[in-house]
Amino acid sequence: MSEWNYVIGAYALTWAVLVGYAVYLRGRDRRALAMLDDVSHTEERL
Amino acid sequence: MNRGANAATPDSRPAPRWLAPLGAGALLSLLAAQAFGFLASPPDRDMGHLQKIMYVHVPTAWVAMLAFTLVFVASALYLWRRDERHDLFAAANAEVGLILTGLTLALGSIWGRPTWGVWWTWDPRLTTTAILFMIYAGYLALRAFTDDAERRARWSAAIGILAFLNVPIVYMSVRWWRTLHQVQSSPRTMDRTYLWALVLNTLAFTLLGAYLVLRRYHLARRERAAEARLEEASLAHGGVAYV
Repeated sequence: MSEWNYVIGAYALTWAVLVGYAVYLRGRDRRALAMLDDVSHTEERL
Repeated sequence: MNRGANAATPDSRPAPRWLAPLGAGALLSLLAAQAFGFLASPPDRDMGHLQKIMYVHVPTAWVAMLAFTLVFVASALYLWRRDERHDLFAAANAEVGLILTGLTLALGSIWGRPTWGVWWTWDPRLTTTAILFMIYAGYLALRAFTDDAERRARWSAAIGILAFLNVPIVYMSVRWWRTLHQVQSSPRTMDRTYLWALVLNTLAFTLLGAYLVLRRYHLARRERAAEARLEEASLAHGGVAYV
């Protein structure tokens, strides 16, 4: 395998991990916001 | 309200406005630094183009070590002040540090296959880094499986302090047990082009690491706010008085 394959593989993995983690944080942030909304509705009902 | 984890009330405010520009700036810095590394640095005499992997391997290791140092500092501050924000900040650093340590190991493996001829070897630097990864994975597992916020914060702080003992061992491992992994390069022994590319990439990764930690920290505060309000609402619904 050419050394460029290893270099490209290393950079692709780096970006995949960084972008993947950013997307994961975004999704989890949305779930937290939705949970806060749910709690607010529950509080209003009570 | 109990003392400790609830001493500082978690809030649900959105992340500060400067966080998005920080993320965009970090992203652009990383793109520019990587472009510089690819375009400006010639192939190394021994490693050839594989040397370019150092521009991601070394910065990810650096930011991970920095994050674990901040886990140590924030954990000590938590035990001293009992402010939940320190606990959440430590946890955010532990998560980012863990991800970057995993990435460091994987990038080292990709570099090691064509250079050393193996994907993995039980070299002291690799072994101590793998142990570091497992320790912080344990730290996050403990947090995930402990429901009581105050106990979770106290135990995490103790582990966050003890786990840091391995960080200087990882750093010094290449000097104490000289085996396959090379010792740290010095600016005096590096060509200026390689040095600049490494410094720029390290700065860009540090900026990106700061963004990810702060993003994770604000997310943790929001989750804690939801958790705390849910607890209060369920207590009120059950007719239990709370203060």
